[in-house]
Amino acid sequence: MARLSMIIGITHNPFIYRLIDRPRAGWTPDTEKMMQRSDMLRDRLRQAKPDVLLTVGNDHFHQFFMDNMPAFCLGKMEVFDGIYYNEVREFGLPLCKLPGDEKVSFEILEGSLKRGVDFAFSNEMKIDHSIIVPLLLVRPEMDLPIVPILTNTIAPPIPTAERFHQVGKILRAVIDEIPGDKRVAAVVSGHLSLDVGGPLQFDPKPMDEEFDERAVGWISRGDTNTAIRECTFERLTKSGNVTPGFLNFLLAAGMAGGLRCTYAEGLKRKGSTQPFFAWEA
Amino acid sequence: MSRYLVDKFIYRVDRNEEMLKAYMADPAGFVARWEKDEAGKLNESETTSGHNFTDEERKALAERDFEKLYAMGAHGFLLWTMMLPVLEPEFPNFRALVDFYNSKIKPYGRPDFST
Repeated sequence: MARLSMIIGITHNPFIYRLIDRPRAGWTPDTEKMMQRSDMLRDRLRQAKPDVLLTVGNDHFHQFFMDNMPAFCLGKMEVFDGIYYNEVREFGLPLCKLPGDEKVSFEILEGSLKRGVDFAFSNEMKIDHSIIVPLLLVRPEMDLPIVPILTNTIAPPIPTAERFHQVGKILRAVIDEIPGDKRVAAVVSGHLSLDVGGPLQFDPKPMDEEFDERAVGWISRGDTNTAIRECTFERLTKSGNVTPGFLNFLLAAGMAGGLRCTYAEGLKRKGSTQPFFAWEA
Repeated sequence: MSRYLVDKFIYRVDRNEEMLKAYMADPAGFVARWEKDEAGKLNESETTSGHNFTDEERKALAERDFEKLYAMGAHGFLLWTMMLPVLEPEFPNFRALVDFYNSKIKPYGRPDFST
């Protein structure tokens, strides 16, 4: 059977690319700190020797708009293109092409349907910075086939925290039943408290330090019950209009099963606290 | 009121270089053309008729009045992503633009932006 060898939870801050797309000697201390964490996760991912990456991120009104807004959508293609026009315009992100694993996509889709998660699916999915930025950080070679899942954390009403966690649990059960001996790793992106387009965006101090500390604590202690109770849409958006992006990490926690949370940090920096999580055997 | 249609306008314009340039060059003219030719487009061949701008919404878009749009519940993330390139030429740097933008929307707090 397939085996989930590692889960990474990481920022998808699109501004990072411009900070690191220059010789390392020119990085600010802040950037250096962030990239030390990222490099550490990159090493651990390499050691986990995955054959395929399950990549989870929230679409930012790129693939989807409110005319057709799936709660969770799985991409099913042999090749995925990444990065949209406005992400090149605003963040200078590079256009990417990544291999997919259509067979594993199909197996996860079918297995999930049988277990009560009716993923929407897409045979023509273009992915945005929520999946590309994490890969630029932890697998810049972009050589491993991916199975992307896009979540809705931006257009209310969105699924509950409990559902995010449950979808993670079911994904794990489905992965554990995939025939063969593939090694799967998951790269899940999201954020802590964050305002983008809200009145406190780009504030020099972190958005809501108290929330960030509690949220990192829930993940590191595996206290998903408290997280689920507290992470209502109303509560999350009090700490920034896109803070519901944290829910992706509850999906990751649901997927963990027997994996232990081996790293959990909210790295404080100007503007927003950057999440770095790992679950390993 | 059609918060959805306002969001659709912003979404379509921000994600399309030609539309963005046209809106920046002639906001009122572009909004009128978009309302006539694009607003009801479901896809390349089908249209819907369930959403229409109010006068207030049309005017706010035509005047690039992001403050009003924000207060009316336009999606904050979408609105910012479109206003950033629209306003950029008028500010010496990113920080100045952000400070201006935030100070304008701050009095309205966090309006309901569900559709």
